[in-house]
Amino acid sequence: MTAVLQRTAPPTAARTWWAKTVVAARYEYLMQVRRPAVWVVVLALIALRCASPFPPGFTSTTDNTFLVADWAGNFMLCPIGVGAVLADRVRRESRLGLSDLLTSTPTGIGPRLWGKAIGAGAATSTPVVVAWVGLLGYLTAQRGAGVIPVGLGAFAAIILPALVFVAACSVTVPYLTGPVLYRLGLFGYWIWGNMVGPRFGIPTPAGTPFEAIGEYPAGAWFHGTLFDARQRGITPTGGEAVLSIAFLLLVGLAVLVMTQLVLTRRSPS
Amino acid sequence: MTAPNVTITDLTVTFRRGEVRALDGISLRLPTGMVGLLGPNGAGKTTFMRVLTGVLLPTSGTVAVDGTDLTSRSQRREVKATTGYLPQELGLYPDLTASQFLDYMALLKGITDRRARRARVKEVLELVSLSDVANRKVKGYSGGMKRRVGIAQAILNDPRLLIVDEPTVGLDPEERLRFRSLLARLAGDRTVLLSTHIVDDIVQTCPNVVVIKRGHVAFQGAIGALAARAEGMVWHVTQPATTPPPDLPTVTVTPGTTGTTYRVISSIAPAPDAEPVSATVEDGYIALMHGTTPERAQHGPDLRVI
Repeated sequence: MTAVLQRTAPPTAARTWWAKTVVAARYEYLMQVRRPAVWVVVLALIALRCASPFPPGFTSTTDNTFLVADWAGNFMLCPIGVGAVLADRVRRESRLGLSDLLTSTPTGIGPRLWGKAIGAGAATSTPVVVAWVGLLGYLTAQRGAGVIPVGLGAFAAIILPALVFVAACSVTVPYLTGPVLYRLGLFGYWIWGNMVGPRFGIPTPAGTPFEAIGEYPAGAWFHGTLFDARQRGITPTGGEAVLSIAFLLLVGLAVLVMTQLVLTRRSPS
Repeated sequence: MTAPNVTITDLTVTFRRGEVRALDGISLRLPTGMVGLLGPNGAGKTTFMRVLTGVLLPTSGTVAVDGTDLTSRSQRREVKATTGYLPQELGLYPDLTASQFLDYMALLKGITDRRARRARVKEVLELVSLSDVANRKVKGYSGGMKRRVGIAQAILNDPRLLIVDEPTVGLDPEERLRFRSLLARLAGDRTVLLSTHIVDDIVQTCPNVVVIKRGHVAFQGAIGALAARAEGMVWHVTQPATTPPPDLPTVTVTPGTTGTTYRVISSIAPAPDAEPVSATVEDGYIALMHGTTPERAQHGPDLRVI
């Protein structure tokens, strides 16, 4: 240790929110994507559902949009896995003893929270992307390249909004509930809000634009099989599909903004 | 760069709705260079440092760094940008390499230009002698290496005020010496506040010392003045090994062939055969903690609490 610290120019301080968020997201991605649990839990849930694809016989259809939409429907359990492995990221800094160090920096909670949501959310969704790309590769080999654009569209419209919604909730709600209670709540919500249809006589968002499994975009744009919406006697329109996606994205945005406001008020940063 | 003018006025921190007063009306001015912060467990040292770094808001009072009020939300970031902090409980992201961790911390400290950040990270890694292992994940580091990563992150923003809380705990003697020497070199033109239980660390590096006791400043002044407080009150008392130890503040106990020698603090000779010895900083600290004062005066001449 003989070097003497060379003085550098003072750090740039102006409008750096986005730069900080992007770098925070990059490191959050790196740290999360290396966790074996991310791959094991998410891929296991995809495999569990896709082992016996539902509804029976859809895989023999000649309509690529219908085929891809129903495969996307079979990814309906993976957001539970994404939420479950994201939930413990919220209190990670305090568990690792990093809270004081991070709070002592001039950067507020915002870039760290958004960086975590974007980076860790993207990392946890990576196995879903990999599984979907693998499936598209398989379908392309069987049916030709025409599957690819439909597959990308189905991912963006059916699977991605649910992942964004769950990722946003999973890096915010556990501040209030802790990860264990959050996981139980997420599992219960997902089953009740997306799979327990009106036939059970329980009030539920299943079959409405406010469910999270993408039934409306699948039905409106990809001719996908309808379950709970059909029980309600609804054939989704394009507008309702947009509403369904917008609802998930806006709820995700709202919980992040609210959490940032609350944490900023509570934090001395 | 010049050292900051850090003025703390009537600083009070309470917990549990006022039941616990961790800091009780502290007022002092930190001098330039290395300043030692001593005090028993629970005295309020860590609370004091957390307030100085902006991690904890005080219940009342002000902390001004060059006139910028750290207790004001709008001004706090300005102070934080020129402060470095190595907390007592140092956590690191175990899955990141030292380089990656420091790059992230540099960003959070406001160095957004990628090239400048990389250059800075390289510089501080060299300074703490971790360049060779910079690309290894920190979970494989020893305690001393992790502490060095801690000090590296603390100096990333070239802070004018560097606050280090118990940096040498758990380090082997050689690593402790390296750390001490590094801190001393960093103190050139900045203020370094070093909190530790190890009096020797302070004796070797800090010209000035602050002692906190039960949330109050019990002493602030030159390190020599702390030792001088015990002058004339330090005695060697030798007793047979079977005799109970003297009921006095005891600094050291040395077993010997003729009996056990106790180094004790007492304002009067504790025994007819007690041998007066010259006081050390540790003696001064123990005398202060036990409220032992010489009969001739109540306070040392260098007490400068404002």
